[in-house]
Amino acid sequence: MKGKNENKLDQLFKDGLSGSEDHFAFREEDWASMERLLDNKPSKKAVIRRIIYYSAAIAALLLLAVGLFFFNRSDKAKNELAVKPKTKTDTQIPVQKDTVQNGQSIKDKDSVKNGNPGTENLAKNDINGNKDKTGSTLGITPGKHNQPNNIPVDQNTVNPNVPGNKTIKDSADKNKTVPSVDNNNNNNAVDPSKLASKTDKTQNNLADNTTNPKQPDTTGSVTAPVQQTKKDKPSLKPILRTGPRFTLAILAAPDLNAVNSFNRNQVGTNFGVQLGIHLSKKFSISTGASYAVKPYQASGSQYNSANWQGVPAANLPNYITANCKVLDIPLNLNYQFYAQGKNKFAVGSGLSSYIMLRENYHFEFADGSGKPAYDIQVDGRNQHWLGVLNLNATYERRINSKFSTIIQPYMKLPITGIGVGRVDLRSTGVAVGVSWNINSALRPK
Amino acid sequence: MGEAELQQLIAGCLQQSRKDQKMLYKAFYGFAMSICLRYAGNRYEAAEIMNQGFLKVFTNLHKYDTGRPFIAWVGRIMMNTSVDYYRSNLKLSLNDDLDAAEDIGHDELPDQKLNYDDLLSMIQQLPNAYRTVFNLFAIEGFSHEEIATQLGISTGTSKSNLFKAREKLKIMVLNSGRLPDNGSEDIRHKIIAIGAISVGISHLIELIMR
Repeated sequence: MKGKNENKLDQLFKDGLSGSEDHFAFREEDWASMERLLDNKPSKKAVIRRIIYYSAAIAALLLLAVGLFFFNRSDKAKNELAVKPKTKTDTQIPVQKDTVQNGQSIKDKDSVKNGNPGTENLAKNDINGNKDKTGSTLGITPGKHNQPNNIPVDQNTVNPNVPGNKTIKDSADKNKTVPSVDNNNNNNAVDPSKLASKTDKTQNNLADNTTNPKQPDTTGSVTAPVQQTKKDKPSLKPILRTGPRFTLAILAAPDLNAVNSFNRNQVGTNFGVQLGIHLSKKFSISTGASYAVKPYQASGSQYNSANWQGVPAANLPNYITANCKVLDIPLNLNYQFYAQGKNKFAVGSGLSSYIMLRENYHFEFADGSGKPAYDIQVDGRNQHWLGVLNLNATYERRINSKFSTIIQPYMKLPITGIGVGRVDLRSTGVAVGVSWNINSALRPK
Repeated sequence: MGEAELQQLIAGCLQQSRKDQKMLYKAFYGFAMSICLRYAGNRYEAAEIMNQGFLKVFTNLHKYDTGRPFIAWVGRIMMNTSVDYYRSNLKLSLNDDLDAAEDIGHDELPDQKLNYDDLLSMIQQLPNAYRTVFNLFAIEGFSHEEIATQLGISTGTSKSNLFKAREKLKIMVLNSGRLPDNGSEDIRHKIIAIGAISVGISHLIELIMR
């Protein structure tokens, strides 16, 4: 009886379930995932999301690259600019009109630092009678001279060999500060020791005189070291004098949240305020608070609740939908690598603290398990202090003296597990906002 | 599909023609899906299993013995893939204690007609271990010894799982007449109903406004 009954049951299912081939219409999406399997590629949805994810990364890299490009350019520009203030200081030195100030500046330096070595040089010079060598040693001994300087010196040293070299005379005439320059014309001077340094100077000057107008880069690179040390000081001074500059930014962002990878992710929202403390021209610290809604999906294995320890995997939900409301308190250090005109680029990194305000979870079991889905809500139980790594790039464009717009691609990668399930909840997105320069309000122009 | 056409498709697939692969996939889609759905817990898993099965079909096509029916070969691959998919949790039957379920007696099964969706939904509600054994025994026609070897379980477990599967299915079949169907299609029906109602109401409002 029972056996017959069971056979009937088997038969019922066998008959009912067989011959169902035509029951299923072909679905293009299944083929799409099949193609992916064949190509060993990720799914179409994943591709789209990965594009968003990578585009954020690419945007960040692009910002970096563009920034570096401009950074290099601005560096050159700085060097060119550097000459100008220098010339001013040089002219203040009680020296007669000197048409080529750069030469003068080097000469000044040399006269201080190169007194004794110069003597040696000339001594050698006399013995060997080799001007080229003197030139090259000259270039090296001052220490401050860069490689490019050797070239003009070498070029120059050829000239003094020619008797009655005009350029030397010219330079001697110009450099009126140098006494008894005429001696230098005659390189066979018997008593060179006293004038040795000056000879060197003259030659140096000459080198600059003759070559500088044609090679502005050389002067730039020669003067740059002198200039930069001088320039760094004023850049720090205003900050020390006025204290750090503050900015307040309001940012909002759609972000993608996903567990473990960005394959299956959901769009959340994120908005908050950010306080920037500009320690120097390049470095700033930013902190603030933002309220984030982070919906995500996870599989049972990705969710590791403490309550689930020891429970067989089969009894655990196989799918989790979550929605977390998070207060995100970041602390980032930013480095501004480019700033020119209205545009600024910076990269930053730091740690965020997540304070979980409310966590909602929806657990679903495998269809076959027969267990009903259920929900839980957890309020304010989890705080993850400095548990999330922040990476971001910032593009800032100044609107006026008070306001700037900010575009900030970012990525938040947890170091600790987030929420009840200790999931590896990653977020990425692009924040857009407005930054207000607080100092502009505090201190009228 | 004619035999010649099939052979042509297979030849194309062997040359990695994506077009022919799609044709073959399309041709056996329904058949493969019908097998995988029986073994799978849901449609998504079924599709995943099926694609893994098709991947095996495509990559092992050169091993196919042309003397035998192709469809049987594909079916076998689908079945094996399904079994493999759930292999890791085939022994979990101990956790689901069926004895706790109420004994509804061994009544005669009602002679009601259950459609494919109902039956599939029932079989999918079984735990993986029961479902797999039930599929292999009742539908594929394997013996307990064969099942035990294939799944790497004892014949005792196989018999026990089959018994429990039948018990559960019987309850479901008997209840199907009385209780409203609570399958996964339900949500879809609800959405359609809500959509239809809202469209109706909007038309009604439009009429009234006139």
